[in-house]
Amino acid sequence: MKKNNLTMVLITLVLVLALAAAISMVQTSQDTRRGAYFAGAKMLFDPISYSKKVGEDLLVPVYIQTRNIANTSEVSKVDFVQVNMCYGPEIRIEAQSGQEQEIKNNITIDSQIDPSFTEIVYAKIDSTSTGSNGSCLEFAVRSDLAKDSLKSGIVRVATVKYKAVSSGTGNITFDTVRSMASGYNTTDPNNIDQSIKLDEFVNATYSITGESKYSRGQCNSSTGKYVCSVSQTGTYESLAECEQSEGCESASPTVTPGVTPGTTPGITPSVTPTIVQATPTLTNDVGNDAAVRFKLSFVGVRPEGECSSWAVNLIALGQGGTRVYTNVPLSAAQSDGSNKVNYTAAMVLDGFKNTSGVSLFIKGPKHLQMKYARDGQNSAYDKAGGELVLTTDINTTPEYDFSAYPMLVGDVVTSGSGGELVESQDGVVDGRDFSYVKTKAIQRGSVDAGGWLLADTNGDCAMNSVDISTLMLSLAEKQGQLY
Amino acid sequence: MNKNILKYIVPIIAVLVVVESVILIARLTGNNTADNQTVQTKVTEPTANVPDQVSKNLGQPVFEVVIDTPISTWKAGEAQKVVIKLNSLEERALDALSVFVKYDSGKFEVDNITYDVKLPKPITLKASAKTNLVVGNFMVAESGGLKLSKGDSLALLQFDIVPKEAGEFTFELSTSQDSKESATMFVETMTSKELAYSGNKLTVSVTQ
Repeated sequence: MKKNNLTMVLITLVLVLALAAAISMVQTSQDTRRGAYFAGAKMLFDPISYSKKVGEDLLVPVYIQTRNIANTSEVSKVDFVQVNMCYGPEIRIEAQSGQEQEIKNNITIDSQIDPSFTEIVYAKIDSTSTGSNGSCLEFAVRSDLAKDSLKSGIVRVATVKYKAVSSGTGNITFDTVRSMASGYNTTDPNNIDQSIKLDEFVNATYSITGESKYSRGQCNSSTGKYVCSVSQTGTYESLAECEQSEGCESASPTVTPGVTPGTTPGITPSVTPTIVQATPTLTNDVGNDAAVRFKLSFVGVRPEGECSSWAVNLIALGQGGTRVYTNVPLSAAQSDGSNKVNYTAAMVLDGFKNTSGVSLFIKGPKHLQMKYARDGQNSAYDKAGGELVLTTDINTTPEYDFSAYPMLVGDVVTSGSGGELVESQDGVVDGRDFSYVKTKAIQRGSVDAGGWLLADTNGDCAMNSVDISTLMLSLAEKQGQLY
Repeated sequence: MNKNILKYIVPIIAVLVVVESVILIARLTGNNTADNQTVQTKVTEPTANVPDQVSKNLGQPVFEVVIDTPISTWKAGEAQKVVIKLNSLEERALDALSVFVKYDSGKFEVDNITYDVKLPKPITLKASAKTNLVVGNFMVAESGGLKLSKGDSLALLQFDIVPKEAGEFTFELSTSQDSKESATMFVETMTSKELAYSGNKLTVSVTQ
């Protein structure tokens, strides 16, 4: 009997131990992955204080600064960031319809130049969380770059464009709960721990001065309010007065005569606000926008070429500001006797106000994008930023000479989603471009002066073996830079 | 009385243990599922044995690219040979052959890069410490391109390589998933289309 009792006690003890072990293991399993961060990071605005007048744009760059991966000296790479930033009623995102694309148009991720992120996943404005005290903008960006190309350290997430709408001061603050980030964890072979812990936030302040003046546009039938824009010549003192919806739907639209704010005569804005279809013209107007004049040349183009009147796309970059201008025409200048042709351009950079530390990224219709950032540049500019100094007067702004570093040619085709050849640029000169130009050169063909042939890389109005040589020159130069 | 209590306690504890075990197993399974989902949503790395060109709908591989070495166990400080071979699975003509092989320039020195005599003079032929790539870029100027029959084999690149330290290392092709500018590519004559290929990953063990 005693022996039986002893056995029972032992069994009970063993079972109690097993129970305790099981409870312990359950607890342990809860801690394995959930909420695990592989690195820390800071989210910040830079600059952290802004001073603007009513009607002006307020460009707020958002950065993330990633730190070392736990127990390593390697800085974590970031591939996804969600930002929730709240602000007062003195500033607003210009999105009259409230539609997502319109909100996205106010967010720039600089996807064309050494991108950190490649896509704005979504964007929305939440006015309910802060009520009449302001709104919160929430957006997410992601990168589909290869893991080696993902950025680490101080990475610009996006630049958000606000419009200053009434005088006052306020803060732009991150929502520390709704802001988050993830990245590529090189130390985790299974790539499970992706979350980056945002453990520090740096907010910003703004000060808006000046009187509000609004101009009323057409009635927005979906919102029942007038479309109102800030205008220096507006007729309404407050936004509420301008937006009042009484009779909005039945009233005839009242369009403020003159130029619509935010646009410039002769310049048609494209879908996103940062893209401007520019028709550069020489003007004597001296405004706030920077003006630029430059001279460049194209690889292989000779004075006798008559099919090289190519317009270029231009990106102006400087001190956090970026503007894109498409179809910028060039004027052919006289040859300087060196058997090449120099082309000139002069334009006011509409909306671009930075005048120092400027660099220009120029791309032709069959050319690689070139960075020009120094006067007399004769090779690739392999540093960040730029050294160009501009003025706001087209007559006095310096003319920069980039002609000693000709634009490389040969970016003419790419592959479609099914592998088919597409006559479109992909930013690279490679074997597909070579093969395309070679095939066309074998077929031969020509056009009259001023005509267009994609495979005519030297602009002599004909497709022949010289086009192949010109492309190979560019390819060798580019590969020399890369490798 | 004691005996009666024990009679009840033992089965109760036994049942608790079973319940806890079931909970434990269920939670572990749940965690695994969550982890798997995380991995699936993450951009996955290209696997050398699964050619990315297939995923780009380029069709069945036309070429097989093999990164090979005579022996897979190397000794630090001793030069070894690596060859990148192109095996043609179909009859094709090529206008361009661009080969990019990833290597770690901090762990290896690459020298004496050569190429098949059937290939034209390369535009670029070098080991780039800047990009950690061995590069061979060939553009075929002949109008008919470089003709390859089914079963033909080319030694695209061959080079000497000296490991600096012990460890396990891999060599594989750089593809369009790694870099747009450094994508291994074979372009067909006349159509100017990329042709699909498969590639392997060479793993070597380096001893002191």
